Amino acid sequence: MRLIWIVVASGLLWCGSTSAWACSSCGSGGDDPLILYPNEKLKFYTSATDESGLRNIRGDGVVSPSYGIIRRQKLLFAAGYLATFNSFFTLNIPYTINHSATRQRQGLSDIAVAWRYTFLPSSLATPYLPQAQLIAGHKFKNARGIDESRDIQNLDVFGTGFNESKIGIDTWSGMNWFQYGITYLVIVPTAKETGRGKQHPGLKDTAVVSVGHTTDHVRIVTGVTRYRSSQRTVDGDLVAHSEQLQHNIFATLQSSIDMMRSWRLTVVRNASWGENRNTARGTAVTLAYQWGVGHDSTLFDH
Amino acid sequence: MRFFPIVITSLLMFSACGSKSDSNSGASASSANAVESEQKVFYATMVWDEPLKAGTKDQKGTLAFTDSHMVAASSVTVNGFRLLMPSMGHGSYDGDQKYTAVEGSPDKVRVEGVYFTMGGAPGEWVVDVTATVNGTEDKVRLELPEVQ
Repeated sequence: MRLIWIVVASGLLWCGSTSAWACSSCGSGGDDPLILYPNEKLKFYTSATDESGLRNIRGDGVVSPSYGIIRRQKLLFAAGYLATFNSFFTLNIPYTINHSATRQRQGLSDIAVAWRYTFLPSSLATPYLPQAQLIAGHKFKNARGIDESRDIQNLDVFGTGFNESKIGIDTWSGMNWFQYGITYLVIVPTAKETGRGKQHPGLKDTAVVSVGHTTDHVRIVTGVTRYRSSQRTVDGDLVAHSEQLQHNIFATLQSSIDMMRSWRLTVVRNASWGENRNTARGTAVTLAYQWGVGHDSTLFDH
Repeated sequence: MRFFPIVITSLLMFSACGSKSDSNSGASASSANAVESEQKVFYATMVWDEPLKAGTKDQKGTLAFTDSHMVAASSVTVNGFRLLMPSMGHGSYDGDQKYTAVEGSPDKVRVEGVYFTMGGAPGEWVVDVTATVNGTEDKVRLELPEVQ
């Protein structure tokens, strides 16, 4: 059994370098950061994010000071498991620390699971054709959303307040000097009953466009992200001016330590270009370390 | 002789301009028009003392009520004053709010200790006021001016 995996992994390695298996959304902040390469059976990811200078952007697009959270730190632990040579599952467990000018509160955020299936692998035969992955996932409401906050400065808000399911496509062309990718996700939140009626956030979608270049051990990717949420409803009635819009820009530097280990530095400037509404502006810096476990690891001996 | 009416008219116009300007600056901190309650029991207006500001607990103003015929109410009790930002689906801290009857004006109630968690464009913040006016309870939603 182990031999089959080694053969499959070796075959895919022959098809291209690991840059071919990257994804356009990885490190963008637009989607889960962890992906597995076919030579990895299991992978772990830890990151620390510091987002500072947070300012509110009102429904009319005017930037106003934040009197609540002005800084947010996030720790993320993620694990991925390669189920077949072209599909894997991931689990994300985030922990958030919210700061105001004088106080801080911390707690577990919403836990998410996802599945990626590579239906169009990259190949040396067609180097200009991008790899394409199908993404499906679900985020379990675990933490309070802003509508449930009991803190005067909303420091106890660690999640969106709703269960969310997502589906989308991630494409990445990583076989050439100039690399590029596009990700598009649709996120469907689940309605919930509240003291203010049945709240239903609007359908959300996220688009990521990225370009990159890879040398032997270093990959640089930069791009833009658009996050959009349509109008929310309360008891079926649309709430005026409740659309959310956020345009971000990001840059990621990833360096391999060896075949199984790498670190990644990402800077995201949230709500920094284009039209932004009902959101927050800030700069997030993330340092991540990830390590994979190969198919020949004794972990998988039975 | 014709000159005097022109001067007087001009002075009156100038004076009217001044008062209009004052009234506008007041309107920037008030819900200008009376709003009818859900069950048509009363009308309510709110005049804020100053332009509204987020992040401080000292925002205050005066609620005024009339009955359904727009006659000033003879008795008013405010039972609830709940801030809401519908576009974001959240409210605000209300632990320090105080409602006080205005002496000599049974149709008015002072509301103090109002806190906004964040700024908002005109109409982005609303307040759901529950009040008993002339013995009957009802609820009204007032749109708020800009919160800076």
